[in-house]
Amino acid sequence: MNLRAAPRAAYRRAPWVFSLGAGLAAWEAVGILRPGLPIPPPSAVLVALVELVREGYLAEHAGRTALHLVAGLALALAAGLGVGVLMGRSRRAEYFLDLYLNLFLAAPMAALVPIMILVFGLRPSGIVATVFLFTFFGVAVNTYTGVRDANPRLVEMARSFGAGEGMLLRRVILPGALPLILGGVRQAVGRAFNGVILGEMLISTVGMGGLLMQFGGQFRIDLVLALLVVVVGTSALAVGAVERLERRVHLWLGGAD
Amino acid sequence: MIAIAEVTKVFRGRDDEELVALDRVSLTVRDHEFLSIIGPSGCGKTTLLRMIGGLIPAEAGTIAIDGVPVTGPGPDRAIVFQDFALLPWADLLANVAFPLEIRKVPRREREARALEALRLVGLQDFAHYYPRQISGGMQQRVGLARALGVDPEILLMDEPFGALDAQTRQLLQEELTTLWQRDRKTVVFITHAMDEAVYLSDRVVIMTPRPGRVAEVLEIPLARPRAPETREDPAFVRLTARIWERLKALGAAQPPAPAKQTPA
Amino acid sequence: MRGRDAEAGTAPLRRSGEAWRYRLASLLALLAFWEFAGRVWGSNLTVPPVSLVAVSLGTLLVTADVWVALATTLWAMAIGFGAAIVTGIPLGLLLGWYPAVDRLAAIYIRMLFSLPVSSTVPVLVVVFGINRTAQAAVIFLFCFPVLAINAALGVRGVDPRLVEMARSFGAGDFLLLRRVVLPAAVPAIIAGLRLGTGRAAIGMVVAELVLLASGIGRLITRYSESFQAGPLFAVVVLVLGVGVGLIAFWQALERRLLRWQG
Repeated sequence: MNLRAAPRAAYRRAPWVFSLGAGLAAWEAVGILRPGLPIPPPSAVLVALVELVREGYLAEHAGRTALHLVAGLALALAAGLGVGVLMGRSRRAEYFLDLYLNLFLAAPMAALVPIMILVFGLRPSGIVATVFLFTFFGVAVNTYTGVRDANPRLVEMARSFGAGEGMLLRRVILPGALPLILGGVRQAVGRAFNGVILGEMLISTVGMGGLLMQFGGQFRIDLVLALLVVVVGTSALAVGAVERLERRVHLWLGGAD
Repeated sequence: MIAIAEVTKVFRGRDDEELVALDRVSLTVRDHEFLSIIGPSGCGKTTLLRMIGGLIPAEAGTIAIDGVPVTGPGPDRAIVFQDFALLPWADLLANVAFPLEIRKVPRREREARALEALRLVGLQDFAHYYPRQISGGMQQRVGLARALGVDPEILLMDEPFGALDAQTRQLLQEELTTLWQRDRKTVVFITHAMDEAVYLSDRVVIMTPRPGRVAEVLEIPLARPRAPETREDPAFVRLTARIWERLKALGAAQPPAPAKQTPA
Repeated sequence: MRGRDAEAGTAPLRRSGEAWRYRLASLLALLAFWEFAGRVWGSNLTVPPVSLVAVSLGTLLVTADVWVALATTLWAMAIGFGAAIVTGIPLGLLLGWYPAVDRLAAIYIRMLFSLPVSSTVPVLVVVFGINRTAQAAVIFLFCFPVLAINAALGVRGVDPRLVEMARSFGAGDFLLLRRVVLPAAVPAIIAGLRLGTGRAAIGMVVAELVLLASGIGRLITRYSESFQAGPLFAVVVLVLGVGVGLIAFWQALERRLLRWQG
């Protein structure tokens, strides 16, 4: 491959790199030509990022945020899968609960944060509860849809050979429902980031959300943007990991490449 | 022996309308016989099969196997399904071993038995393939292997070759009759195709359109073991034509009352 | 649980009446439990019994306060959402139609989509100040990506054979867009509007809570600080209801559209 073709091939494969690069370059140029604008150029954000690491902000606060996020998400996954399986297998359970699930999926969950503050005070449990509320309903709905719409012919076949509920779930229903369930998990991971940031911004002075408010109050927009970079980067990695899992499951279940 | 006595099945439709699928069906399936059930669409033959399999209950009447009434699925019966019903996320070996896994047979033993069953249908080299990688005919062979793997006394086959092309169907018919010849399990075989019924069976039950009743039971005195040449036997042609005539007549008009069956 | 499997192959049971009986029973059970729990464990400081919430809601609804607050908040949402529709949907259409536009803009839209927009509030405050414009900007950022992405999906999902057919009769780009692509993209655009409304509702709440409590946020702050749990819950329930109602509107529209399309 000659030297002229290589960049073009790279562009074709990942055009976003070039687009992003061009955008950053333009932003930097504006920053140099017109200093004193409220939004600092990428170079300043990079410096701020280094500052975040060096001063130990990231170590202390990112860890907190991660804890809040993982705790809330884990609870939501466990509860969501459990409720989803129950609703998918029992029509009574489905009709008993589907109203709330669909309602809360459509509702602006952010409005519940003041209530979390009322119930939990300004303690971390309120943040965990917020993450839980943001993520539980999506997981539950996706799980119950996947379980409910399991291939009835396969279920019948398994029952004809004497399969009990446990075998049915483990070998027939859940594998079939996996694509939908993983889709729900992927959405939940994204919403978990939203929930933890909003929760921390409103409830606490620690964690990434708390830092955002603090730096915002100090008008240190370079630090704010650096935090944003960390948050977006982590979120993209997490969601990307679930997407990779989804693709592998898709292949395993017999989808096209 | 499967004793089906005055079995009736009614389905309730969306607007509370009632569909009588089976109306006082009585039938006896002898041990070690290959019995086919043939009839127009909607005559309830698949429903009857699933009732023998214990998947749906009867409204009235009883089904008893060797005197014991059927209350649910059991290890004495295995079903081969028209659309194969293979688990897409398991390889062929795991699929054939699935019923054994349900019965909590330890892993090594069930994989060995599954491999044996695959060998019976000639697919032992494909043990680690996935269903999507093989043809329809091969998939149905796997379905057959799965049913044979649990060594049931009774094999229930629900139009097993209906989803396959004519050549594959004929091939599988010949393989099935050869396999059956080995240990002569009791088989209840549902089909749409008269030649298939005559080729494989000892007796053929002809059913009426909905509500399904037994119209006639035909003895098939053709020599065993059956072979491709059997299809040219004039008796074969006569029997096939006989069934066709009867089916046509049934399609046109309803018989007034359940016909007498030939003595068991 | 057996009941579910036994139905495989039989005619589906009449669902609607049965379902609503369970849902009603469930609602009554929840209300009863809420009332009991509120009286026994809750208080004016935490979770009040549902009767108190209901009374508060009733009292609020007859006063002008809550309607003014709601109107203020919804007005900001309308502005932000409106701006997002006017810019996002056309951009989405271009994104779906011209690969060059997609190569250029897709990465930014996707980044905005996966960003927790709440975290942009400090930046927006610096740019716009603490005012209604900043609120509208928050809402805009919340719903803009969803509108664009769905419009693009709608365009990309058009049956290429239809496009080929139209071109074979000599249709130019504009006619093609207007008579073939756009109509085919409508369901996806409406889905985007539904999702966008949901996100805009979240955006309006976030704006009120984090940026400037000008409408609903003012009421929430007032009742939180004076520990009036009853009215606080009532306001939250109202906001949730409005959010759900807006989405229900789009869902009904989608169902009607589905029926027309056959």
